[in-house]
Amino acid sequence: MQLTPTREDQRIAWLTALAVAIHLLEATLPSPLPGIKPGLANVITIVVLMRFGWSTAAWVSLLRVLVSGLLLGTFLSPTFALSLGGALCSVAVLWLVTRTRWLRFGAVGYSVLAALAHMLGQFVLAYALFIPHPGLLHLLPILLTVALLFGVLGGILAHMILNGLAKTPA
Amino acid sequence: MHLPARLSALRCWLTGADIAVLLIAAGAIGWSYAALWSHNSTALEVEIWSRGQRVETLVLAEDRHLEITGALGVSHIEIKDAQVRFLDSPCSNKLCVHSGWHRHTGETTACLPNQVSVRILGRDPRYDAINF
Repeated sequence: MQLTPTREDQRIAWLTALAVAIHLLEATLPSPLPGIKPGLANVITIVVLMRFGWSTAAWVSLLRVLVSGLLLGTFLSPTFALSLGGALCSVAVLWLVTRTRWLRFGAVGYSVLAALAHMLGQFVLAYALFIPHPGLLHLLPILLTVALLFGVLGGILAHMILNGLAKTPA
Repeated sequence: MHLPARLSALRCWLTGADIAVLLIAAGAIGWSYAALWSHNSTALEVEIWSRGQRVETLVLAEDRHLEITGALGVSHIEIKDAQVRFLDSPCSNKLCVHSGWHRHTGETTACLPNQVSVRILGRDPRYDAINF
C-alpha cells in the first residue's frame, strides 16, 4: 500500500518542522518558574490558523507537541501530559472562537486566547493530576499574567509575520 | 500625529474583538490576584463542639468568654487577641487547660472527659494533618 501525501499533508509537515524547531530551541531556555516560557511555537500556530485555517493549525500544534516530546525524551512523561493538555485546550478555544462568525479577531486576540487557554489547561491538569494543593493556586495569577504578556508579544510577532507573508505569493 | 490617526494605526493591529479579549483577560487576571492572594486572617473562625454537636461558630477576632455545657459540667473557653484557650473545665487532669492558647488554622483542642472541643477554621491550614 502506498500513501500519497497531499499538498496539505506536506504543508502540515513543513509547518510542524518549523514549530518543532522553535519548541526545541525554547526548551533550552532557562525558566524562572515551572510553566513559564515565551511560547514562541504559539506564534506558528496563530500564523497557520489565520493563513490556512483551524484544522491545519490544530494538526501543526498537536504534532509539534508529539514530535517535540519524542525528541526531548519527555514523551508520555508528566511534562508531555501538561504540554499536550495545554495544546489541546488552546486548540479547542481557537476552534470555538473561529466558529463564531460575529467575532472578528486579529492575531493578537487569537494569540492571547491561545496562550491563556494553554496556561489554564495546563494548570488545571497539573492541579488535578499532580499537585492538588491549594498553595498552587497562588501561582495562578502570576502564570496568567505571564501568559497574557507573552500572548500579546506572540500576537504582535504573528501579525508581523502575516504582514510579511501577505507581500509574498502563497 | 493626531490622536485619531494613532487610533486608526492601532485599529490595523487590534480588532474590536481583540480589544475586548485584552480587557476581559486583564480584568479576570486582576480579579484572580484579588481572589487568590488575599490573606485575611480575620476571617478565621472558631467552632465549638459539645457532645458531638456543634454549639457555636465564632469569629476569632472578637474577644469572648464562653461557658459551654458538656458531659461533666461547664467548660470555660476564652477567646482573646485572636487566640483561644480552655480557661477551666470540670475534668480531673486539665489537659485542655494546660494545652494553652491556640491560634493556627486547623488546630483543635479538646476536653475529652467533658466532650467539648474547639476547632480553628480558616482558609489556609498551616498543617495538612497533625499526629501526636
